[in-house]
Amino acid sequence: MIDTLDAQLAFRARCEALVIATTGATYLAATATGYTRADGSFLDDGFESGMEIVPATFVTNTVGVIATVTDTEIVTFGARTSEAEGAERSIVAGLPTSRAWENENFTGTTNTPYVEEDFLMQPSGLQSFPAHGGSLLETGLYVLKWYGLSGVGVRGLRRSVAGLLARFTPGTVITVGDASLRVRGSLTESGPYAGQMIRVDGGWTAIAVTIPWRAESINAVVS
Amino acid sequence: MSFTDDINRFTAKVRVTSLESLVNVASAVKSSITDGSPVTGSPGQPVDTGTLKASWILEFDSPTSARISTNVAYASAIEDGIGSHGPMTLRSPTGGFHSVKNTVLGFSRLVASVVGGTTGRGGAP
Repeated sequence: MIDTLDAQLAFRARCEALVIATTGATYLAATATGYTRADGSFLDDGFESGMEIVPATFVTNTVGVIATVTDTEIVTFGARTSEAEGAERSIVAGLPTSRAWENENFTGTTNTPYVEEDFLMQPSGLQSFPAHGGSLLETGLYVLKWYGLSGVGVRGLRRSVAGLLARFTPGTVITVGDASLRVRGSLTESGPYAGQMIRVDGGWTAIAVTIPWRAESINAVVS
Repeated sequence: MSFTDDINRFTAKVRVTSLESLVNVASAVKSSITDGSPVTGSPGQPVDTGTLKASWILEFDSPTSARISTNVAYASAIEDGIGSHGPMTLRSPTGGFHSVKNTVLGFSRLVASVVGGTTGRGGAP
């Protein structure tokens, strides 16, 4: 059998490595209301309203959320500390830094996106003889619920979820110890999908991303 | 008795068995969503007032298709466990989240377990 803890942590790690939009290392300035650039385009880089951004190599690198974005300016919710333009700076949008991992106490913060996970196992079954040493098929679901901000349109949340799904396409192999777990999806079985956009109280709009998976391992019968 | 008679009898038997299989599979799908299933791993619907669980209905659109549905507005939120102030806490002693997902993904197993019983040839466990 696969180690379910390792499997859940492997899914988390793959989500945490998500990059939706990035400026790369470039010349950026911070203003009292956000960030600006003289070259390149924030829109072309993929930034959208509602995305959480992580600045780097500024003097102050406070995580923020995009209120509005143009080619040359990002306006954030909340004030920023002004800094003159500098080199080798970057702004990255990825998995929200607020994460309600399973069985951890969590309360959402207003105007701050977050994610929540569910890891589910489905009934397993032997695929071959004998029982001891035969091939065991295990299946399950990894569900990541992305809570974006309400009232900022669909682009940010849809692009974020699309980026997440792109990391879990059918056939994707995720190593779990000595075993391999594979994302399901074919003509005869459902693959990963994003659910309906659901507006909830508290200022969030959520989408649930469901990733079905399967794993084959050697069955061991313990005496 | 002629070969034609044999064929007609076989055809009638297939038709009856197919209808029986559709009814049994559709009923099993609905039951997996509402009450849970050891075949699919679905936990079934959580229960507070019973409104959501009772709202699921099974309809036969044709001799070859069935539809299981609910008109409860918060069904999607319960299915995904999407809460309004953070992770949703399950307060029901029965049921859980993701019943529809588990049922959909375990559908082939459900069919095998039900059809095996319909045909008398022993379905999957």
